[in-house]
Amino acid sequence: MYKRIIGLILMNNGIVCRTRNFQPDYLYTDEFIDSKYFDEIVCIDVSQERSEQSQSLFLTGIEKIMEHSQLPLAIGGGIRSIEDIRRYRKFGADRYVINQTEAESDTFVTEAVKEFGKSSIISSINHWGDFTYSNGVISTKALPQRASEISVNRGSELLLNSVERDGTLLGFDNANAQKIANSHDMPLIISGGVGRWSHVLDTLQIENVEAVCTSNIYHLTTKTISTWRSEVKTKGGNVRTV
Amino acid sequence: MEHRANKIVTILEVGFGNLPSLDRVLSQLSVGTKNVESVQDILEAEHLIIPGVGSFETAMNYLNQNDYGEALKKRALELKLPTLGICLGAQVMFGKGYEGAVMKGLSIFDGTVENLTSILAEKKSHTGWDKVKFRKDFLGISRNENIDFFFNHDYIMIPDNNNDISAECDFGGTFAVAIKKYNCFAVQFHPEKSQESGLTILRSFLGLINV
Repeated sequence: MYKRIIGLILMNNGIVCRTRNFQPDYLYTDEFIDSKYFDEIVCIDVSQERSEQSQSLFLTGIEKIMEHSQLPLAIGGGIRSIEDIRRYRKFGADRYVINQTEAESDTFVTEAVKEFGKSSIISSINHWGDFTYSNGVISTKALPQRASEISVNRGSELLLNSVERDGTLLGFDNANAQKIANSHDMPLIISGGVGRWSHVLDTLQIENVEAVCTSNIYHLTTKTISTWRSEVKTKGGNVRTV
Repeated sequence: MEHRANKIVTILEVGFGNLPSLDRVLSQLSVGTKNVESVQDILEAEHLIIPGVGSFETAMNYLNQNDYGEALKKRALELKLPTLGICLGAQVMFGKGYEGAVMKGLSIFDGTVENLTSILAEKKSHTGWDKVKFRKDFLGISRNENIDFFFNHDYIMIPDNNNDISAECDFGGTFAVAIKKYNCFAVQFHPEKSQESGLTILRSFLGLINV
């Protein structure tokens, strides 16, 4: 099984955006997005205020990005009910990212796994360093503790989003990736901070890390990822040739 | 010059399927879709695709409630019409499934469908891209080729007869991922999510290229 490089596309009111520490800063046109060098596409609605209109713009944006793609697609952002998943399903999503940073979503994840199967659900936790991060603030809950709480009640993979690293290009939070990987036997997706191919190589070499994400617009619109794949592969990384 | 704009493929969705992604890719190939609404549709469709994600039990309950089981078997084994099962749609073609309640399948292929953790050394979902080793020519792909496809499943097909197997994967032990009998094809991977290699499978199944 190959390790994956995921294109994480963030959309604010249907417009592709860049974030820094989870705050949208720049908006981009989706015209130039080229998804073909990725292994999977994950689209997240990061709109601050969600409305029917923002959701419809989000879905139109996804349609456009996937128009010429034959890649697996996961969708997330504000999924709170079985009905939300059904709605997203109509847009060709294979998997659904459910934010499980707060315990209040645990019951819903159990329902979603029962209804759609474990392999359709990705659980996610937002964190800032060693602590979880929710509603714009760093909480007092330790990340390993939260990961431990959901180690049974979760989807097939756990997405760790480092808000601290998001948009910094400083590299993934390997210390925490390693910590969670060591203490729980759960497949991880690591997101936040990638700036160069060696970051991908280093993080993908952690056992149980199955995938890394980039939402950097430069990575989404150029041949960067194709070049990275060659470099990572040359250095012994187990990634697909695209 | 190909006249493929008018091509229509019939779809029988089982379980909690993922029709839109298949629809999207078929429309990229300029192929239209029509859903199965009756037993007659199953017996008469030129090309039938059975996609599906979900549990074996739910899928078989759906097929049984609509009396589709016998028609599918007749289509595959007697009429020998082109039929492609994807993921759960492939698994239901087997004799027995162990996902949910133990359930009889369509028995187009002899064998069972079991949780991979009870058969293979790996103890997690088979999710992601994996290398597929083709033993036989299969829908536009030549024997001895190793090609990458996208998978997302916890249960695997275990055919009684090794000769039915066209391709295998290694995930803590080898298991069948492509199986063929007459014109009935079962694939565990998702051709609609596997870029060029998946398009080769779909084009070949639909007769859009000469292979």
